[in-house]
Amino acid sequence: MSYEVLHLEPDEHVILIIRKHWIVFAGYGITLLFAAFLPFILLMAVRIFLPALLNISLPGNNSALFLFFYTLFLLALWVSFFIDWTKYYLDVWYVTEKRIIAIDQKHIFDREVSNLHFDKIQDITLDVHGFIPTLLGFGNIKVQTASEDSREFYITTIRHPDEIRRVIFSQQNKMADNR
Amino acid sequence: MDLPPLTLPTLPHINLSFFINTPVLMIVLVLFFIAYIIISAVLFYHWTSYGMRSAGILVGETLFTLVSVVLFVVAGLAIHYF
Repeated sequence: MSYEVLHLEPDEHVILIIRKHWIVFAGYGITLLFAAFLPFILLMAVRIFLPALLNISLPGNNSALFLFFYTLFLLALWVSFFIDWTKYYLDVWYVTEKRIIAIDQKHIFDREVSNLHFDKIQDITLDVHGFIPTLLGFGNIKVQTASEDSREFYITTIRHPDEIRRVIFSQQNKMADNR
Repeated sequence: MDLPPLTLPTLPHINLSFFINTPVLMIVLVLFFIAYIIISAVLFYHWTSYGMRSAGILVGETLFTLVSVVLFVVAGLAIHYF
């Protein structure tokens, strides 16, 4: 991987990459998978409840016509899937020895990059709420800064939030010891 | 008094071959392809600029391109066999 875009200092390295749990993205993927079968479900429903609609004669090869429009529909779903995947994949926190670089990819054209230096971090709150988050080990993290313009940084549905908090606190302690 | 039996007016006959024919399907495919190219360019820009050449991005790019090509070929073949 190349971290040029993060503009790291010469002695700075990425030690942890924090990304949301795949379950967030899987939900959208399953929805699209269901949508891919929707034309067949609709066709079945029409065949059962409104069979007269199927008597409309269309020119040319009907199967080829259905395949053409169905392929375009699948392409639209495929593109939509990758738009969502891009938002998921680029919404990430990089933890270095000195700071957290929080990249919030809200939408495809809405991207916010923030830096949280460890000496400014006041508290980290983690929240694992519910049966499925506990089972799959994901939750939310809130980082509060102690700067003049006290801010809070959130990342939701991340894997192993307790481990991430441990790493951040450990780096914060290391920085405090080195000072 | 007997009322005349109710009859619905006959619907005008629509010749669908005017709307659904090979040139029209070709135009639909070309318009779709143009929209696809624009959206793909946006996605590739994001992947190149912010993806940091990670393995996940490379897999995503390859999968996106390969499946898209297959689907466009199938759409083209569907027009051929229409």
